Amino acid sequence: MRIGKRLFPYPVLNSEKVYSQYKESSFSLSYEDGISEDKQFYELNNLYCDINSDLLTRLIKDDKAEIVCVIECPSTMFRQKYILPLEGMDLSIPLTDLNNKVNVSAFVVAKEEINNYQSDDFLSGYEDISFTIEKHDILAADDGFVNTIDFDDFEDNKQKSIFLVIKDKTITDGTMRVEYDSDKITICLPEKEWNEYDKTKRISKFESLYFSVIAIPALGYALSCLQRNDPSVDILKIDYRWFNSFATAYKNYHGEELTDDVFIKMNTNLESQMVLNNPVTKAVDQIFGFTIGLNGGDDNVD
Amino acid sequence: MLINIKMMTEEAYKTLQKNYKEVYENIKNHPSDASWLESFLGFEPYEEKKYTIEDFTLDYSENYDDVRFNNAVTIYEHLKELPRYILCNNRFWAWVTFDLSYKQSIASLALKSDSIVKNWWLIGQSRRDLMLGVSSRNFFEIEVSVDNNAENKYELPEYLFNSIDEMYRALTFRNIGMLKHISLPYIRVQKDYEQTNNYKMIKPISRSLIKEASKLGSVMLIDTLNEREVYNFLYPKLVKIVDKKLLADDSR
Repeated sequence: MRIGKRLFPYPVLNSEKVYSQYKESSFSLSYEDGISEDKQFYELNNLYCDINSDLLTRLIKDDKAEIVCVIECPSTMFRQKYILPLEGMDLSIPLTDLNNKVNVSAFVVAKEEINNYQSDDFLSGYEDISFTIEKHDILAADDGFVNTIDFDDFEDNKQKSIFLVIKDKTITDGTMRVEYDSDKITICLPEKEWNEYDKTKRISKFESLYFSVIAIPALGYALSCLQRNDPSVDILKIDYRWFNSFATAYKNYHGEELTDDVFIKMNTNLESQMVLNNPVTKAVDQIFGFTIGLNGGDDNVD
Repeated sequence: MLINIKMMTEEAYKTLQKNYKEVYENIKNHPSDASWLESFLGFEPYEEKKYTIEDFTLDYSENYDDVRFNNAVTIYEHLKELPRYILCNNRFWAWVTFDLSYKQSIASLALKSDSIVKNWWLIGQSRRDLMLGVSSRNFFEIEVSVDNNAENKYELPEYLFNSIDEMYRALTFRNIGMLKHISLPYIRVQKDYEQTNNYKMIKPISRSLIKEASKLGSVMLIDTLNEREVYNFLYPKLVKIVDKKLLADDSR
């Protein structure tokens, strides 16, 4: 659950200083997350809210307010609240309840009506005002973090391709079309060519050729589309599973993380070749070798 | 008998989405079963998953309203233990639609145009898509309304199924619609009000009421409220909304 820039009719301590109505106090959520060894649970360890506010700490100790962590996964319609003790806690959620983006946020919430809600640390303008807080009102908020979980990978224990090649009977001009969504890059071929592709895609000597004529232009196109909108690599990795795979392959190839600056200036065609293991030159070699084979070893062919 | 669940493959699902106009024609020309699917695709449409369910059959009637509620309960009862990531996957529901409830899906939503297939048979992956898909709707309409603490847990679902479509649709439009401590009192206040006041809910009333429920989350953390608190908040709001509507109708 996100509070964002929402305005409240009373001072709220926001983890984002710019939206907070406190001078010095602070509130922030922290945890270490990962998948359990048996791959059954999403674990949040040392889930803890650092509260630097005498007023809120006192209210929590007096049982007039509580720290609530909300975990939400829109893809699986999962949303649960967890009451956090001041000293923090560990949390485990079955992986089967989650998929794709998981939002973890935290709040301090009033457990009862609170009269004379007042603090010297309120921003000027609120300092001399005493507020009445209703039960369930939000007193502090940290919009927290978005994490990504790809559950199917754990179940099938195999690497999923970032490409999908399908037939599109509506293509009548003989072209190949490329689309992408949060999960995959989809390559649409006319029916006849898809049928030909489908019958030959498992022949190993055509693999580099297919990567060259289908996968490289598709990945290059999708990457160039993402380049256009002032991209943040961290956000793209969360929003697009195929981009996250590309960023991992980039790191494996170059030995360094993909940064925003590098991505914006990147030659997408060149990088696509590199992360897909240079299929263009391999395809040329294979075509040459194939041609020699066809002509009985005579390499003087036109 | 236990059967393994299946999901339509990604390749099959995307192909059907891309060629939905032809899919529409095929469904119209083959009203009994989806045996045309494999030859249309050129490959096996489904992949088997490790999870099992008790096999089931659904009732059929050309007047689908006669069997709609009972079929929804059957679907819910047989599938409710499956993991969320399966239940919220459109490719799982494609298997249910094309393989388990093909005739029922045709009967439940008139195939007036190819957009029916595009929008409600081959749904996207959003919460709203899932809640309104031709077969997934059966499951989620029960899920948001079934009250496991009630003497008759299907009292509210039956009421919801027999009420105006907007009552359920209003829940699908908002994130809070998936929170049971919101959806149950939202439905119950309307049921109680109708019974007490001999009044029949209409579209703008249900729509206004869900807006009031949304307002609860403006400064409060909606997750910490309980069902009773939401009910006590919504009932007087509903009284006001209906009174205002009646007054406006009278003054015309």
